[in-house]
Amino acid sequence: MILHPGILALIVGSSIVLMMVIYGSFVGTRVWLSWDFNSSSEEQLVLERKTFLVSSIVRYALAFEVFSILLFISTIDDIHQLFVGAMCATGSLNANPIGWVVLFVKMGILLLAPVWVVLDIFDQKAGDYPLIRAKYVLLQFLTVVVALDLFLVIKYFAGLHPEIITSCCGALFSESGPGVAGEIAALPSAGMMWLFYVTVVFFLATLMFCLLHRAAAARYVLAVLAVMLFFVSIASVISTFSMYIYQLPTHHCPFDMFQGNYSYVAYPIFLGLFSAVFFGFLPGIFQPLKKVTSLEKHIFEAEKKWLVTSGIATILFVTVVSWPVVFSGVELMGY
Amino acid sequence: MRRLLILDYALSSLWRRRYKNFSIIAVFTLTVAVLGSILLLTHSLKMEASEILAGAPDLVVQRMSAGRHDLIPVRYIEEIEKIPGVGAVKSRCWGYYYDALTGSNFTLLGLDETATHEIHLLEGSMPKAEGQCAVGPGVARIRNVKVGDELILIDSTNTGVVFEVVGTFTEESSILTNDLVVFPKDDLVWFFGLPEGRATDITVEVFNESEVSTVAGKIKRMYPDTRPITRREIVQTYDAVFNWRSGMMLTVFLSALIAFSILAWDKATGISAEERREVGILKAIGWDTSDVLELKFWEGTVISLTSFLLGLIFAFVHVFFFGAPLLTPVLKGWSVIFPDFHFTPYIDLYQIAVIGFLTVVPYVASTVIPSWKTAVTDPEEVMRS
Amino acid sequence: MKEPAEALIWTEDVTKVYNPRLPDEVRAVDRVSVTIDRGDVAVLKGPSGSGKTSLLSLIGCMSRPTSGRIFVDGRDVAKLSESLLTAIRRETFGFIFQQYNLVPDASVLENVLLPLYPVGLRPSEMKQRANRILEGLGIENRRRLKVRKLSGGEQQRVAIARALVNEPDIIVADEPTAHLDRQRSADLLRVLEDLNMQGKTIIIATHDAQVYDHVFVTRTIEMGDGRVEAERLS
Repeated sequence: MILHPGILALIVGSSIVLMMVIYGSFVGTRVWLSWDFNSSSEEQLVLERKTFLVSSIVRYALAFEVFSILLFISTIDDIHQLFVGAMCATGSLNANPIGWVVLFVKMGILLLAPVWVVLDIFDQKAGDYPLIRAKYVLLQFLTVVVALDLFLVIKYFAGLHPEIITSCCGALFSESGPGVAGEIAALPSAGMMWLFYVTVVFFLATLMFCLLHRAAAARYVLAVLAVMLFFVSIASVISTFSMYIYQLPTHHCPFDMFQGNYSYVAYPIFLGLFSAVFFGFLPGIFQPLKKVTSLEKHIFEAEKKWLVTSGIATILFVTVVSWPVVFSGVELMGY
Repeated sequence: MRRLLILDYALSSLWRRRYKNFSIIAVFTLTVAVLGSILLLTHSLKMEASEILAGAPDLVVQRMSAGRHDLIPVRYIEEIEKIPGVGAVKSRCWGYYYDALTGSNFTLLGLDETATHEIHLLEGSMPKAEGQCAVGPGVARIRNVKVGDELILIDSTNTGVVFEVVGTFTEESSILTNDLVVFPKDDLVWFFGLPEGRATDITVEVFNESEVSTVAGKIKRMYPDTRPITRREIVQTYDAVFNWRSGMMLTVFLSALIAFSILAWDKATGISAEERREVGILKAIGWDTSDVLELKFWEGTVISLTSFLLGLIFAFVHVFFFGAPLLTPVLKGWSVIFPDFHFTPYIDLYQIAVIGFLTVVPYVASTVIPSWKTAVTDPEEVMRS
Repeated sequence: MKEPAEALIWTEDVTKVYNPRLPDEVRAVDRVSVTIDRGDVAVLKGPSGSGKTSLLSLIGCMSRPTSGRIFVDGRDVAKLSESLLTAIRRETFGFIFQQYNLVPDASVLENVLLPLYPVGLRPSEMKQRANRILEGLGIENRRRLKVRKLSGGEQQRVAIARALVNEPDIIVADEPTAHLDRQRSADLLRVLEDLNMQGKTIIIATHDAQVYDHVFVTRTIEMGDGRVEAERLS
């Protein structure tokens, strides 16, 4: 265990977040167990007011949780010099492989938490609380994930022993490296680039189609494409675009670009990617809910905004990753 | 637009209750300032240390005897020099000296004629001839000597020895040189009464950085009684020590954080009858629960941001302009002579994020339930009062 | 009885019980069915404790009935969530309370603008509206003053201005003359009469004869013990 201010902040912050979410989930469960919207009793009114408490708590908690991902990445980046052979955040993760699990759990929260908030917003807008049960069941699941996250974070940092010799990102994300990470990095860049741009074009085309037509199938296709876009983009950022960003044919680490040396370019990249995927994914998830009368109007209204946001985010993301390819003058297609 | 209007109302509402809000901002600011000072200071120390260590030898070889550090035979140098990839190999003589007069510890260093220490001198020169010495700013201050004065030290046979001070180091180098006294090597050997052919340790230059550990392994095999220490290990140790110290202080500080949260909770819960009535009015004339929650959100944001910025500024000034006088005694530990710290100011987003996470999260967590309680005030209440 | 959609306000067997199943249970409104048409000046008349204020808050979408139905402008509001009730209250009603219920340390202008904050109009439009109304009530030169510094009559006007700023169809006033002398009461009634002429429906709960005997009253609902004892058109 390393006593480091960032680690302390993560553990203290996440513990508070967990307490908030547990409390919210507890209140939420009590609310939906005795929920009876047709009753005009005082108890029902109290329950309705409690939904605001749950919303308020969970929204703050989830905002902190999302913020904690950035803090986590910055922290593992800051402590990498404690490990022999580690040159960036990847090294810190390799020093205790649970770190990778933490990263994936946090990414899951990053996508799941906003879904909860959107459900919550609709539930409040509808006026007859059609999603109350769905919302609080999902909250229970989220609580488990947040608890798991804290547990893994503690386990990860507790299991870090600074004397461990780690392979740095050069070894992990270089073509000859073993495992999935190495394979991703080894993907041929020309092919990867093709796949990337084709996916983007398909995604944007479907998005346009959804904007113009109300077909349900298009929404589901878009959701699937959004998931594809997510994985294809991450793979191509690691395998191809990173080389242009670092201007090195052998450097593929996805964490270095969070640093000031690369003008924090990772933030627009991953923020753009996450918004594009998230808002592209939403219409598909909410398609079945259009059957609820009190929601239909609101969903149609919001859907337009989601599609437009997703489109803009996609364009932003694609522009930022393509920029160095077009303008850096580095010729790396051969690698 | 709606958001801005509610923010506007939040501001005027905070201003109307400025005396009450002032206390929470003051405590919040203090919390951030203390926390910020700890982080900024330890981080500066860390940076300072790593800057100094950048000029340190790649490898230091010590001799171990009975599990303790012992003097190393100078003849080891010849064998080490033969290892491929190794550059200059030198012996170093240094030690500690307890100055009974002032009750402080000095570090005494023997200077090799060939050594090229890049230490800035404020005044005078490095000692060259017998009986000369140069002193660090801390030593100069505590013994009240300057260039041209005499420094009397007691040697191992309890005899006073007079040295002439020919130079004093500048304050800029003080973290390294503060308690330092430099002599020609022979003077030091004689002063400490070191046996012939022995040195304190041996420094090794390695051309290729990635071969340092290989060389270290070879030396260890060659001389099993030695302990090679790489620069990286020293950097890591420093890092770990500073992380540990600031972590320790933060942990101690957590109790203060809890006290702060309780205060925030208390302030948020104990809303006055007047404030409660105001929210009742808002609810009655068309504000929704979510609008009041938003109002509370903005109030919290304004309070947090104000306190946070103020606290950061205080921490910044405290550490970088005054050298953290309130914290250095705790952080620096054993030595009686403290260097006067003058750190290079820097702004690090990561540090700010850490401070933010440690202070804003508890504050929000302790105000969220009271805010909600206020927000669900029954609109009908104002009709029946 | 009219159909719910035709009347502006229509209630059927509305009951409101406070603290149900507790020792201090109060049946404040008991199976009340009333109708108020667009353009009415309706008076809820009765001694204190007769359920006027409770009925007023039910009609004004401040609270939900324990049972029964309430239609406002053709919309069933008895079973709406609090947030939707708030939205209707904000769009349809302007409230004048017994003790003004102003924020004493805020300025006149700020008090008048309060109901508009959650609506999200442009600030220039909001100010324009407020100024027009304050001018109409003759207190535009008091705009920047704190409410605390105003006289009782002026505070009453600020309260009226606040009730009007969201351009409601219905003005609800609870004992508006309780703290006013005869002269000021007459002034207030003149203002309300003007508003009625402009097409606003006015609902007043009162036990002041100066109000319920006024000529502009079109509908009197007499209450006692939570029930309607008599209903009269004039």
